[in-house]
Parts: sequence; structure tokens; C-alpha cells
Amino acid sequence: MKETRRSTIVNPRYMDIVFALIFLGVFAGAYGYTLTLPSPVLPGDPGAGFFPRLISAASVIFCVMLIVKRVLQVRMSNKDQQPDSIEVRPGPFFIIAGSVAGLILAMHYIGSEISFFAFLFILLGLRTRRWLWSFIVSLLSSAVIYVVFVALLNVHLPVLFLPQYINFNF
Amino acid sequence: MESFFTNILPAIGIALDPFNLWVIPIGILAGIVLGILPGFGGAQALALMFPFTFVMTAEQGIFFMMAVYSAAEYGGAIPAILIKTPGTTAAAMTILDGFPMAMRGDAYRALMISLTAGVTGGILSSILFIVAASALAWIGMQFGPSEMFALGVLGLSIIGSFVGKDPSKGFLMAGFGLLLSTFGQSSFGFVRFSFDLPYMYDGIPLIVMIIAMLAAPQIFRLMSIFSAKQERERGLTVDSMAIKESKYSLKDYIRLVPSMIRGTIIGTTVGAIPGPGPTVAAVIAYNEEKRWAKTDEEFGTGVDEGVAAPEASNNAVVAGALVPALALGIPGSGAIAVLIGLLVSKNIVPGPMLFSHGGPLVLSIFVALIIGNLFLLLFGFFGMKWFASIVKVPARILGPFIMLLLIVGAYSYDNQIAHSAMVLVLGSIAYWLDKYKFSTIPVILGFVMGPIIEINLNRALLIHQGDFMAVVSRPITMVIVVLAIVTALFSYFRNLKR
Repeated sequence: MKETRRSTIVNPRYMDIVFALIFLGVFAGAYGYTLTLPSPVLPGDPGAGFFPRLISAASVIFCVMLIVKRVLQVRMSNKDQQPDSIEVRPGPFFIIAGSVAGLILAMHYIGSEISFFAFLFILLGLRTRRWLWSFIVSLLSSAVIYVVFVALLNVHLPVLFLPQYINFNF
Repeated sequence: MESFFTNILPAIGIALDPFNLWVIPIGILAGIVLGILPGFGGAQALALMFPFTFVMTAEQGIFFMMAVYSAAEYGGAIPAILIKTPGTTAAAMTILDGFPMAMRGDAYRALMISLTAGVTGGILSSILFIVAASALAWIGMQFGPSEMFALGVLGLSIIGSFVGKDPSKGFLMAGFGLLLSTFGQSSFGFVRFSFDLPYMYDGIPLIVMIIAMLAAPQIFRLMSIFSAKQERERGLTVDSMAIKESKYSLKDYIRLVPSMIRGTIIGTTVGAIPGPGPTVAAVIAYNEEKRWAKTDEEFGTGVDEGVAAPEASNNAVVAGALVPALALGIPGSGAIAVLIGLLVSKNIVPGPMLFSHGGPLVLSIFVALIIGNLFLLLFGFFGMKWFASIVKVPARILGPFIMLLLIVGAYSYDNQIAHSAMVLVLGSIAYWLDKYKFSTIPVILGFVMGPIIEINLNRALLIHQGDFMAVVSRPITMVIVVLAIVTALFSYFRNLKR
């Protein structure tokens, strides 16, 4: 694994092993959880834990198969046979995830109207540097989303003030 | 047969009556629009349109809802091809070849193939049903819980045979999807994997999984583009997409007819079986088309047949799914469950008696489906250039809008902010899985088929007093299970050779 200024270059085979180990833990944990579920009562009834237990057991086998396969590939391969590396830039992902998390929280606490507008205005403005255009487009888009989802499709979005001014009673 | 000739002309008369006919184009337009929106698949579209049928007659209501359903199944392919964001679950298969076609500038061609294949599948399956309705009902009646379980296993084994280069990863992701499908209320009345969170009692909604697993990774990538320079570096500018005038001629259509017919037969047959639905039909149709192809390694790079077959099959499912619904009163999918609700609200009881004593009503539904598909062809053809123009919008601008639509779409399912939060969490996981070549399509397919497999396995075990060998030794079940095992082993050893 190599790190450049803002990105990380990783070998996909190593990451396959990492993911397989993570999933191994997930499925092992799920298997253990299913053992706490109530036992079946009726004859022939497999019970609530049977199917997730079956899936977890089968998936653990797939995880082990993948780990073994990749470990063998890593040991047997030479420098000429390395797969193409993957460049990873975690920074933009966390920025995007943070902005979406902010949108969701804003929807919940201050209503959809302001949060939709703010989300679009900030992101469009930063991307285009055309702030007036971003303001107008964000305003219109928020209004269209409100009309389509709230008024026409009857989705109960958390709203703060628009229903007092825009209301379609069919 | 006698009732067919007796009822077909009155059925055509009912469908072509202007009093009933006017609702069909409206339903088609509504279905296309709703199918395009992420979060609004066939079931959601029907559920939303249901209140409008209260002011309609029985025939109007049924024709309207069928138009919405078939158009929504087509509409889901439009965002799948243009922006790798399926509007419906079944359209996920269309992404595999449709999106690569759009990326090299053949968006128009892909959309036309999708449209003509969908219309062909819809019309052919309706004709097929009209002619062979009783035979299809008989096939559907032969599938009990054991066979349904086996069909689900076959679907999952197919996943590993074509998704990604390594079937181990495909099966692992399918297992992840199956595990996620067990979250929430089980059919036994116990709540599993709720983590004591109230919004987890009902599990993870399907629409949340669709958005998170299929759309979110691409939207995260789109949103990570902050400047025009980055667009050029990633080859996402309009010029680099080389959107030339891609043609789609009658000759191309005729060349694809065999693919469409294969997809139609698969879709109609799968649709007639309660449970699998358009997603499984599209998966099987795609895989079978790949088997038939002389150069199967080109699938996934943007081949015409990779769009034609799944699109024909998922539209053909609409007619096929009506068989168990109308003949047995068994809803094969959420969308059909809404339709059955409509019939009951109009005092029409679905069941065997509807076929034998319902007069021309059943046949008129399929005639209306054919008419609806003709309207779909008309609207789809003339509206195509407007749909294709979406790719000209700069990627860095498109991202925030689509992300906002996804968040709102997830919320709209049940008006819960927790579902939007689930999209963010699961979408983040999907982004990193996709980044390291763990395909998320098997996750979705495992999630969809999980309840089907579990319910039918449990029923089969109950019937056979817990004897698993008795479950799989039924003739049809055994054939399907053997086919599933052969498919999985074949794909695994083929991968080892590579």
C-alpha cells in the first residue's frame, strides 16, 4: 500500500482479503446471534434462526474460500503478475457523506424546504462558482420537488412553512 | 377454446371503447414518469395511482393500472441506461450493457432497443397469454413451496456465473443480501437483527436497498466531481462521451427479435410463477442470452442483446404475472397485490371462476395491455430525444440533484427519515464494496429472493416434517437444484481456468 499526497494506492488482492475477513466477522457474529433466537416448537418447523444461520454458515465458507484463494495468489504470483492497483481518495467521500448527513439532519430538524435549497445552493455554487444561477436553480428545484412529491404524490415530507402558501386540494 | 372465440370480440370492444380507452395513454405517461424516479418502481407507482381509480369504473381502473405498471417497468430502464441508476429493480440488469452503450455515445440506440424490446415483450406475452392462458395457469399451479425454493437457489447460482470475474465474490455478496433480507419481522413472528431500534422492526425496505446498493455508489462518484477539469480527466465531458447520432434501424430490430422472443418466453413463464417477478426474469433472460451468444465475453461491455433480452423479459412478466393473480388470486408481486386490491374494491373476485365465468373481462385486460404497449411505443419514440438529453448535463451538476432525489425517494416509501439515513449508511458500504470490485447487484438479488426462498423453504420443511431430502427430491425441484449446482460449479471452474 502506498500513499501519495491525497490518495492511497492499494493492491486489490490484499483488499479482497481484508473485506473477506470483515465479512467473516459479520457472518460469524450473525451466526452467533441466531443461536439466541427461540427454538422451533412445531414438528418440522425450522424456526426463526434457521435461515439466517444457513446463510451465515454458507457465507463463512465463501469467505474462507476467497481468503485462501487470494493468499495463494499472493504467495504464488511474482512482480510481473500483480493486478492493477486501485487508487483510493477517501477525502471526497467523507465530504460527500458529511453533506448528505447534514441534509438528512436538516430535513428532520428544520424542514425540507430550507434543507433542499441549502443543499443544492451550496453544492451547485461550489461546483460552478455561479452563485446567482445556483440560487435560482436551487429555488426552482426545491419548489418543483415540493410540488411533485408533497402536493402531487402526497409524500409527507417534513415541511416548515410552504403548505401555508402552496396547497393543492384535489 | 370455445370461450376464447366467444369472448375475444366483446373483449376487443371493451378495450377500444373510448370511455375506457382514454385512461390508457394517461396511465402510460404516469408510469414512465414514475418509473424514471428512483424510489418509484412498479409497486410504488401502482400504490400511488390507486386512489385515482376510486372515481373510475372497474374496466377503466384495471386498464389504467396495467398501463401504469407496464410503463413503469419500461421507465425504470431510462435512468439505468443514462445514469446507471435503475428506476426499478428489474432494470438493474439493463445497466450491465445499457450504461456502457450510453458511455460510448450510443444512449439513443440503447433507449430504442429498450423501448422496442419492452413493447415487443409486452405485446408478445399478451398474445401468448390470450392463446395459452389455461396452459400457463396449469404450469403455475404445479409449483409448490419446494419448487419455489429451488427456483430461488437457481437464481442465486446464476448470479455467481456472470457477475464479476470471481464467483466467490458474487456468492459472498449474494449471502450478504440474503442476510440483510432476514432483518426485521420474520414470518414466525419474531424480530431478527433489530438492534432494539424501532425503525428496524420492519427490516430494511427494498427500495432503500435498491437506492443504496445500485444508485448510491455511482452518485457518490458523480458528486466527487467538483470541477470541469475533473470531468475532463475522468472522461465525463459531453465531447469525450462521443454522443454521435447512433442509429437504430428496422434491420437492427429484426436482428434482435430472436433475443426478444427468448426474453419474452422467459418473462412470461417466470411471471406466471408466483414470487420471482421481473427481477428474476431479467436475470435469467440475461444469462440465457449470454449462453446463446457466440462471444459471451462481450456481454457487459455494451452489446445490443444485453439490453434487449432483459427488457423484453421484464415487460413480458406483466402479462405472465396476471395468470396466478387472476386465476388463483395469488399476488406474485407487490404490484400485482395492488391490482388484486383494485379488483376486490370493484367487487370482482379473482380466481378460477373469473376465467370460466367472468366473460370477456379477462381477455379485455390483455387486449388493453397490447393497446397500452402501442401507446408506450408512441410516447417512448417521440419522447426519446428529451430523455437522451440528460447525458448532456454536466456530471458535477447532476450529482446533487440525483442524490437529493434518492434521499427523498427513500423517505417517500414510508415517510421515515430513518430510511434516508439507511440509504446513506448502506450506500457508503456499497460505495466501498463497488470500489474494490465487489459487485452490489448480487446483494440486491439476494435481498429480493431471500424472503421468497425462506418462506418457501420453511413451508416445504413444514409439509415434509422437517425432512430436507424429501423437499429436494420432488422431480421439478430436483431438476432445478441440479441445474443450480451445475451452473455454480461451471462458473467456478471456468474462473479457475482463467
